[in-house]
Amino acid sequence: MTPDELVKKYSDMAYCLALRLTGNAAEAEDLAEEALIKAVRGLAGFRGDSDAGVWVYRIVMNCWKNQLRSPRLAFWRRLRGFCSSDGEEDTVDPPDPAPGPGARLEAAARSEAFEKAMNSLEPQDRAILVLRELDGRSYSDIAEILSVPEGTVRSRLSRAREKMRGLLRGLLEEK
Amino acid sequence: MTHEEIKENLSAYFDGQLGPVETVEISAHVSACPGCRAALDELSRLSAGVKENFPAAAPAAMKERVLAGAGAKKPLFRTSTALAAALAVIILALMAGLVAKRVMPGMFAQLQGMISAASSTLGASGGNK
Repeated sequence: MTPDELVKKYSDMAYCLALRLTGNAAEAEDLAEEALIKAVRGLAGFRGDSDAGVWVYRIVMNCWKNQLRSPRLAFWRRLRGFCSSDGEEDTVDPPDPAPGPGARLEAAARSEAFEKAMNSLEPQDRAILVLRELDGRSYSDIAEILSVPEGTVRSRLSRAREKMRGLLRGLLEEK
Repeated sequence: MTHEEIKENLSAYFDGQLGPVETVEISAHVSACPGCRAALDELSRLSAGVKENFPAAAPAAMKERVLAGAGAKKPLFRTSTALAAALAVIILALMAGLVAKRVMPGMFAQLQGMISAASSTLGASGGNK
């Protein structure tokens, strides 16, 4: 696999994973960039024992854990939180809603409800959910990416979905 | 499996991540249990909603930076972080000024006098050149 192929194939999901871990578009970009640069630099040493996606996403997880431990980054994160106007997480724009004012409002409300429900989960649970739903990863792949037992993935995913379902029911009904 | 155990395993069943024995057992239960069928429908709607609302697309500029930067060093701070820091410093300075004016009016007036004197001195010396 060449660096171009690696970036083309895995950067979208690496960014998506980073976005769900950090809850912030700017930090996600930094995290995904750092992880992908490490992956490209380490490509020659990648033996191919495991799936390349699992390897890349593991690097994202490890970089995220290192960032959490970094006091310098924790300081800047707090400062950014202080400077942001409403203290809410800076996430990506919702996807383009359907045409028509009614449909647009409905799509925007739905998107907002999903964002709120997703943000109510723990960062690692968000990661599990997107790895499963958006990348179709098996439980064993996710377990390897997160360095947790497969049973933990199963139970955490089940709980995360249950929590999201409950929240969405409430949020979409009150709209 | 009891009904509760089946409910706990519905998510893994939905994902097709159970063994053949558990899958057959849950399939048989679901076909006879309206509650579990409804829960499976909800899981399906949730799955579709996550796919629809959280598309995975990295910024194109980031991909280019990765390929270009694999051999170069990363900047210490992003522009947005630096701007946030600058804004915070300005806000803190203004707040400190306001606090000083309210709490220590004497010292504030003295400082104001010093700044005025310094600026007029600088203005005068600039004008002599």
